[in-house]
Amino acid sequence: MRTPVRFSKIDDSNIADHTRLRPDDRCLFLFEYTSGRDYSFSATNSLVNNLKKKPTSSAAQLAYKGQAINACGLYFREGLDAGWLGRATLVPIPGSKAPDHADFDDRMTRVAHAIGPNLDVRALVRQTQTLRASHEVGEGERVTVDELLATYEIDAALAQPEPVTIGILDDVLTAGTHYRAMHTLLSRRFPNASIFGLFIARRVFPAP
Amino acid sequence: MAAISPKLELGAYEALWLEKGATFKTLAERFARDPTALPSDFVEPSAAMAAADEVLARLKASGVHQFGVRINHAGDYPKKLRDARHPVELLYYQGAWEITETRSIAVVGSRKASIEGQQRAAQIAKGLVERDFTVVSGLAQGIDRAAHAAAFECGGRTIAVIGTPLGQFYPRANRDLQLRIAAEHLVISQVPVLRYERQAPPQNRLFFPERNVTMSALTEGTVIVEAGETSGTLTQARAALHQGRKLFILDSCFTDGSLTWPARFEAEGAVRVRRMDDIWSALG
Repeated sequence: MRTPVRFSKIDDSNIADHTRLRPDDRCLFLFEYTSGRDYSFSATNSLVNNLKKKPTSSAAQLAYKGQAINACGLYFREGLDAGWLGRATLVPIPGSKAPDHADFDDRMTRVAHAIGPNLDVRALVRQTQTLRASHEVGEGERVTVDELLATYEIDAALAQPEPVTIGILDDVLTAGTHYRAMHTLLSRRFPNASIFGLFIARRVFPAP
Repeated sequence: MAAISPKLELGAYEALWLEKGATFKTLAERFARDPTALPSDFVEPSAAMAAADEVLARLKASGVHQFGVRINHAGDYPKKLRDARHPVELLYYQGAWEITETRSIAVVGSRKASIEGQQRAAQIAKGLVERDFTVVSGLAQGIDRAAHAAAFECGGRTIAVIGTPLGQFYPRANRDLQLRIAAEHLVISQVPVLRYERQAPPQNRLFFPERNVTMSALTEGTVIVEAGETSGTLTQARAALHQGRKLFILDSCFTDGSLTWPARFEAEGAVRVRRMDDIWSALG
């Protein structure tokens, strides 16, 4: 019998892996993958790689992407409290490419819709400029929270009704930069909403 | 929103182990009665957090700056561990957990192994690496060490399931090997840090055969290279058969007239290995 995987949380035993997070950030994740090892045999590695396939990939590759989106939707549905999901506004993290780019990828919006019908899924945060994807740049060139804030904006047309509780959806928690930028923008606009980060996986470091 | 806190759970697990009379058996029975429970369901949060703080400080003091835990019901906990008679609810590890997703075979045997035994262990490890299997062993002297070392030599993957907490080394001579396996591959420990620290060495020795049960559960099968009549290795043989894993016993164990266990385990389903192909063909 399939038993649902329960979400784990970032606490002070593991927050050091995510240097941009703050101690009171509430971030939940399902799986872990080891940084710097190209373990293509790993189920999580494969799930995330399929999820990240570019929209300009072949139809065969996009079929894998579709399967990964559905699998992630199921994980979220099984792992999250149904009552909370009913009250929550799910806000996907925008992809690194702006909507006018050929590789614009709304995968996290699609994952949010795959969680179930009748959920409040709102792409409340838009990215106005194209950035290089975090997995395409070196460690030293990573974007900062402030740089992201300069490109993020709230889509005012979607701001009502005001969210009570927000789940920011992303695939992989790395330093926590995108989550922090989203949290900053959303908490300014909706100061009364409680905000959570929901991730398929977090990256961990091997032993030094 | 409810979610598993790794820190709270490791603290609760450690606190359960500090209760008088706690063993893998008593803990497993407790969780068997309440299969959806987490360690924190049985422990006051303040006691769990206090134990967790102590464990984190203890591990740091032992030089363990990067480690992880696997918790039953959370992501990445291998379901195959539930095949053990007394499955563990929580494990510590250092390294890359993904290696547990590969096909793997345990190669185990005596600490005081013969030269021939160590050569056989190395030969099997090499053959496993050539077939893309991960070599799993217990980081003891003798056969275990030979198996891990051979896996390294031929560029393969290896997992050490140790009988001490992370950051503790037994025997001391294997310290460098343990650190290297942690840095490049994977070291797993199910041994509670605080209990180990607080009880005497004779009680701590029991953690060694108990880790053999988990080693068996993690793998597709176990190869016994050499073992005496009372060896802890035989715990792994029994576990493998109980868990439905393959058990291979080298022919040299059968031809040693002083041993009765090889024939006994063969009668229960173990494979007598006369040629290495007997292993490879059974693995498919």
